[in-house]
Formats: sequence, structure tokens, C-alpha cells
Amino acid sequence: MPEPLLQFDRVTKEFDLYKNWFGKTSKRFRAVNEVTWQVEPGAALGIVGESGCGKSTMARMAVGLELPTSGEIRFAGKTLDKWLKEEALLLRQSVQMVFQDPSASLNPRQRIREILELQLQRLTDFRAEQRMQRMKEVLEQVQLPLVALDRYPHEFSGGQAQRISIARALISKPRLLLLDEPVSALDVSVQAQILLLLEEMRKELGVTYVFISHDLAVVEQLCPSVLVMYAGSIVESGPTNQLFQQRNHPYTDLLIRSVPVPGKSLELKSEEMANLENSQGCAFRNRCSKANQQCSQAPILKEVSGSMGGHECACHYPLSEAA
Amino acid sequence: MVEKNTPALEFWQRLNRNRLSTVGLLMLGLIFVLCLITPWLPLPDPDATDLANRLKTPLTSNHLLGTDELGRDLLSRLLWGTRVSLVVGFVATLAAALVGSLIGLVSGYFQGWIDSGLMRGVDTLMAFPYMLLALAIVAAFGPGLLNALFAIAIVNVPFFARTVRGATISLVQREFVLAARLGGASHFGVLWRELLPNILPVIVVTISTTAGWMILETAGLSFLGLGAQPPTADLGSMLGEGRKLLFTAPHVSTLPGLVILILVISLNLLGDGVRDVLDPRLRGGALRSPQPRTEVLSAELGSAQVRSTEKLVIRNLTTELFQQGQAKPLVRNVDFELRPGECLGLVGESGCGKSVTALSLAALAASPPLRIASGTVELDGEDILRLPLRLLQDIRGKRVSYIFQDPLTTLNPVLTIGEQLIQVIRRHQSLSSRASYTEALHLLSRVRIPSPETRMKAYPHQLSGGMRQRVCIAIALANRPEVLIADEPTTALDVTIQAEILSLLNDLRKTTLKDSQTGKKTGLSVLFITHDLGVVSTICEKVAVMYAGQIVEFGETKSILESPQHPYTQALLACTPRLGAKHKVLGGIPGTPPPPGSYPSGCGFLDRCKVASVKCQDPVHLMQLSSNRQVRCVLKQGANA
Repeated sequence: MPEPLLQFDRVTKEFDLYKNWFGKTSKRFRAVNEVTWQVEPGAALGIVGESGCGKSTMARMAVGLELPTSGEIRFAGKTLDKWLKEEALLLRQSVQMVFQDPSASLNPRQRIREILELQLQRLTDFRAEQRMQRMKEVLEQVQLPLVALDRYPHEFSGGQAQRISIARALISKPRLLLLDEPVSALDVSVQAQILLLLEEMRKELGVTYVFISHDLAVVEQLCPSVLVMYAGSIVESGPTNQLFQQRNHPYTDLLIRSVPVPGKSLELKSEEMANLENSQGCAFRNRCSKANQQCSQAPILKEVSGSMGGHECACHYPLSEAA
Repeated sequence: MVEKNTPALEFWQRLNRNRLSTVGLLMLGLIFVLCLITPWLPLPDPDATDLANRLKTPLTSNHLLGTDELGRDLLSRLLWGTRVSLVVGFVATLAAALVGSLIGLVSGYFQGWIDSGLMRGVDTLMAFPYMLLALAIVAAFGPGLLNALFAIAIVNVPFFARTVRGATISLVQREFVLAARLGGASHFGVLWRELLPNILPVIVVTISTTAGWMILETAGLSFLGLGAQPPTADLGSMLGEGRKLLFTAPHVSTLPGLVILILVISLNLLGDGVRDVLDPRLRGGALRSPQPRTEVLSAELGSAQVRSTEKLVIRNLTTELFQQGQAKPLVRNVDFELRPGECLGLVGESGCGKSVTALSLAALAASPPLRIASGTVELDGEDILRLPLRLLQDIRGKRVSYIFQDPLTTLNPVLTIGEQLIQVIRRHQSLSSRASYTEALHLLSRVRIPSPETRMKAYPHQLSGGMRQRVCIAIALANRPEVLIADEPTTALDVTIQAEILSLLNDLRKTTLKDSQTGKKTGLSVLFITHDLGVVSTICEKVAVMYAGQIVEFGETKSILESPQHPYTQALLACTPRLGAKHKVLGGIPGTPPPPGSYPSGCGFLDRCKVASVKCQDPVHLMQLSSNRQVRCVLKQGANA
């Protein structure tokens, strides 16, 4: 097995909600709760969950925009702390991110030329003609015409703007790309274009993807393996096909049943409301029909019985065992 | 890629639309030119005294505007004085803008203790009365123009600092700033290249609105004898000198007063114009508030009188964007009907006109700039578009109600859920406050909100997104509407919450509503607008697919999903990702839809269609395929003929 490119080792992130008069924290919110995962070079890992489940916080930690409260994040075997102290520039070159809202992620006052060139000036020591060469290359990769360089972001549609964002992220030839809901602001027809583009780029350039989304169908298309998050913890993980076909966690099951599919009517009863205030135990137990006493103790991720390998679930009563 | 205008050209065009600001600009320009050429004008020395000719009235020979106490020519002193006042006022403004903006940028960007430190300093400056602070500064450094300039600049720093800090904070968490940081930008790089260009309009607006005030303050200090020292003339000191002679020679003080007035008025007029152009919140015609109903052009009478089984009949509806004398259609000749208890899905991508259609149904499309060019909307056989406003308002919220995409912006943030519900109930029903409270409670439990009593007292921000949307649904159902128009009601919600809301809507629709007064049973008709074909199939019986402002396909949900006829519907279905299906989406639909307002006369899908031919450039009609199936495609016409 190759050395993982990105590793989260028992990473926790807490935010201060209230501070008292003396600056001491009186209430904290745990956005990410002791998560451990990794992604191998060239792979594509999907992270799925509802809004507020901590997936975006995880992305921000992975690129060093936020620092974990505890635990370690390693990129290519070296902790992010070390990278940021010793070779911040190299880290920026190798880890890039694409954001959800394509129009908010491009500076409205800069032409595309300026946006791309600034990125190159900051990250490389290319001379002017090398920069131009690279800009041409990357625009071709995201299938935009050269005239795009002299336009402002507002002159592009959402899909085109997202292509520009991808071009900016790829221009320094990164090894790891974090995609935080890159297609959820786009129309279906454009969404499919971008997904195809992303898939081609991965094959062609060998970039590793961490793809964050609330849309299971989109993740299924792009990522061979997936993590399901709920309230800051990983509740199930494994190869995408296997996980979706034999889901083990009741939350994964709820997620999958909730997805509207053309030509299928809804077979869902109203569920209990999410309650994230739970301090202990399984966070999903308030919405779960199977919950009992034991669920007030936090379940740990363990291998699903009978899996081909790599399929893990954090539940005292996994669905496969009930059957 | 539409606009070709350079930003500068656009700026002037927009500025010129505000007549008053053009007047301000012209007056200010005139004053500027006069001040610039003053040294070359044939004027006497402004400081040359001539006691023999003191206090001459205006229009005497050699002295067009008369002379002052020491016989100095007033016109010459006025022009030179205006020069001094303008220079001091503007330099002070620029200095305050520079220092204040820097403080604002730095504290807004770094936040934390740097922010606290800087802003507490600024707060301290603001805590002193204005003039007192300026006086204290001048008192400390001694009188003189330069010190007055410093004083005024310092006093005005807080305005810039606070405004710029606010603007910076709203930008710092924007993705493009994060992207720049990830791109290895230094703090200076982010401030200079990313933030400053976006904040510049704010700074310019603040400059343009404070410059007039700064000139007044300069005049004030000079008036008190703390600014310009004799014999130098500036507007304030001239005013001060003339004050003693107010009754014997009023022109000596009124003339500089008049110049100050004109100067400040023209600056403020121009400032208002500049603010309107640059302030993003005022863009997009927010200054002209829309009328209570959409303007309806033609006075055509509907087919009426023929009482059909349909609840809502929309015929030939065309809504257009009317700007600068040009009408661009956004919704083109839309026809559909809604039966009692039926749910019709209106499907399309952003910009296809589905929301404008929805808003047009109750004449809610913002007018100006939108207007309904033709068509009728008949509710039980009565055209509601052309009803008198009062009757229309009785229908809105009672017989036809709406749910929108974002519940947070639909609900009023300062009223509790209960207050908002009761307000809506009492607008259309004469119920006692007790009865309406019970009714509101009942509504909340109908939309399955747990512990409704406590939720009645909650504010919108205290509820989750799904709960808020339930409240919106409760408000929409408050007066037992016959038609519910739901515009993307679940798009902003998580999948699991979306599923809950959809099943709630479905249940509500199917439980027939019994009117408490008439005892009549009615089913709720729903127009469900969405871009998601998956959502459609969970709730709608029929689907209308919209593209480029037209309905391109219409039929029962099942038949449309199983055998789509229009190439657009086919392509849309093919690129909808499906969970668990082995099928992989292949690249979507190439190209982008035509932008709203510039729809072609032929088939709107022409450029993206794989099977397009020359015939597609002519207007295409909606074809009846079978009793319940329509499609707008040339190919199907051929097949049928």
C-alpha cells in the first residue's frame, strides 16, 4: 500500500461559542470529533453529510485555513504544522481548494488574466512567458477559450466561473485538490459538464481528490470510496458501491432513502428532528428507531462483518446484522 | 459573456441618469474651473487694501462685487478664498480617507486584538464633540490653515475607519480572499490586491458624501479665527470678517456664505449620485421601489364565463423586462391549467423564466422593471391580473399563496413565529386574538412542528432551516388557500429535511381542506417549481418543462420521465445523477442556455441540440401529441404530420 497523501489522525476541532468576562470559554461546540481517515495518492475520496456535520471544517483544516484543536493532520507524511512553518509555499503549491460558490470565489474586480497570473506569481518563480504558457495550458484543460483572459468574472455563467476556479486551483500543478461542494450551486446540465471535466482531469493529471458534497449521487459518480459524517463524527466509511448497497448505519440508510430519484415516489415517514446538543453517545440516537440504552455510549468505527475489506461502521446495531 | 461597456463608461452613463447629480457636477465643475484660472484673471490683488474705497456695494465700477472693510476687492477675495477652502477641504478629506481607510482595512482584516485596539482608539476620538475636538487640536498646535487641516482630518478619521472596517469584515470570509490566502498571498498582498479594489467604491462614496461637510468645518474653524490668518482669504474667515458689518454692509458676509452654500449643495448632489452608482445595495433599481402589482399592458378580456373544471387557467402569459425603452420577454406565451387538488411541476434550469412565471400569477413580479405584456390568469373563471388592487390583495395570501426558496429571507427577523402567523390569519379572517392564537397553534401542529406552544414565541433565527420552511408553509396555509405556489421550496435544504418537507406537502395536499365557514371541501392545487426532476417525480402528477421562457414539453410525470419527447427533456434526464444506478452521466448538455431576455425567435435549444436542423430557426409551436401530452419541437411536428 502506498504512503497516504493526506492523513487525519484523531483530529478534533472545537469552536468557542461563548466567552465570559475574563476571556475564558464557557461553552464550546465540537464541529469535528476525533476523526481518523486517509487518502492515497491518485485516489478520490468522497465526504458526505448534511450541512453542519463538520465536512467543510474538515476541508478548511486540510488546507491549513483552520488549525485542529487536537490530533494531527499529515500531508505526504509530514504534519501540516511543520509544512506551514518550514515550507508554506510548497504546501500551497501542492494542496489547493475549489469552493462552492463560483462567483464568490473569484475577485469581482480582477480580470481572469490577473486572477490566474497572481496565483502563478505567488506560487512559482516562472518568468512572464512561462506564466503565459502555463495559463494557456490550464485554460485549455478546463476547456475555456483564450479570450476569457481579458474578461471579468461577472461576464461568465456559473459553470464557466467554476471552470476558472478549477483552473486557478490546478495552475500550480497541485497533488491534492479539495473540492468543497463544487457543483451544488450549478444547474444539473452544467453540473454534469463539470463532473466529467473533473473526472478527466484526475485521470489525465493524477491529482488526488477529496470531494465534499451533500449529494450522494454526485459522490457516487466521482469517488470510488466515501465517508459518511454525522454531527462531527464518521458514522460509516468504505468503498462507495459496497457502502451504498449494503449500508449499515441507520443514518446512511436515511440519507439514501431521502434522495429523490426520477421515476420513484417517496417512501418516507416523517423522522424525528435532528438534535445536535447531545454531549455523549451516538449523535444520531434521537432520530434512530433502533436506539436504546446502549447508544448513550459512543459507538466506535469497526469493520462490517462480511465486508470485502475497508467497509467500516460506527453503530451498535448495524443494519446488516439485524437482517 | 454579454457586456461590452468598459466600467468607466458605464459609470458615467449611470451617473447621468440622476439629473440632480449632473447639475451638481456642472456647478462644481464651473467652480473648479474658475478657481483654476483665478491667477490669470484680470483681478486686483486680493490682499491690496484701499481704504478710500471701503465697503463699496456690488456692481460699482472696478469692483463687480464691491469691497470689504479695508477696501479689498470682494470678487478677487472670493475666488482666491474659494481656492483655499477647496484645497484645505479636499486635502483634509483625502488625508482622513487615507488614514481612516488604512485603520479600517487593517482592523477589519486582522481582527482580534489589533481590531480592538484600533477601534477603541477610534471610539475615543468619536466620543468627543466634534468641534470641541477640532478646537482642542488647533489650540494645542496654534491657529493656522495647516493646523486646521490636520484637526479636520483627524476628526473625520473615525467615519472612514468604521465604514471601511465594516466593508472589510464582510469581505474577509469571502471565498476569493480565502483562495488568495491558499494561493500563498501575503497579508499585504491580500489587502492590496484583493480587498482594496473591492472596498474602493465604499471609500469613494464616503469621500463624496463627507467632502461637503469637511468644507463646512474648514469654514467653521476659520470663522472662529482659528484657520486662515489675515490677510489670507478663505470663505470662513471672510464670513467672520463680514459678521461685524452684517447690518451696515450685508454683502460682505452674504457673498461668501452664498458661495459656501452653492459649493456644499453641488458637492452633496454629486455625492448622492456617486453613491447611487457605486453602492452595490442601491444597484439594480432598488431606489425605485416596485408598485404593489405588476403592470399589465393589454386590457384583453379572457375567455371567461365558461366555467371549467380547472381551478387556475393560465393563457398566453407573456412577462417582459422593460428597461430603457426596450422590452425583452422573459416568459413567452405560457399556457397551462391546474385542476383542484392537482400538483403541477414547473421544471427548468436557472434563467428559464419559471420564477417570473410564478410571480406573474398573482401580479407579484416587480414592476418596474417587469411587466405583463399579455395573457390572462383565471381563478375559477375570473381574470385576477386585471382585478382592482384591493380585490387582488384579498386573493393574495387567501386564495393563492406562496412559499419561496429561502425561508430565512421570507420571514421577518424581528417578529416571533406566532406574531407572523397571527398577522396573516387576521389579515383575511375576522377572528378574535384568542381564536387566531388557537388557529396559529393548530397550523403549527399541522405542519408537524413539535411543541408548537414554545415555537410560537421563537424568532426565525432560533429555528433550523427545515423548521423555518415548515413555518412558511404554515403561513401559506393559514387562510386555506385554493392554490399554493411553491418556488423551489426545498432547494436550500438538506436531503433528509427535503424528504420530510416533500412528504409533508404531499400529505397536506391530499387531505382535503374543509372550509370552516362554508363547509365546502376543496383540494389544494399546487404549482411546484423546481430544477430537480427527482423532486418532481416524488410529488407532481403533471410536469411542464420550461426552456428559454417557453414551455417545451407538457404531460403526465410518468410519461415524461419514461418517454421524454423534447431533446432538452431527454438531455436533462440523461444528466440527472441517480443514486445506485449503474448509469454514468455523460458530460451534460454542451453550451449554456440563452441568457434571460435575449431568447431567439426560433427554438431556444437550437445551439445545444444534437438533432437540430435549419427548420429549427423558425418559431416552433407547442404540438399536441395526445390528449395529455404537448411538445415544442420541429422534429415531432414532422413525425406527426
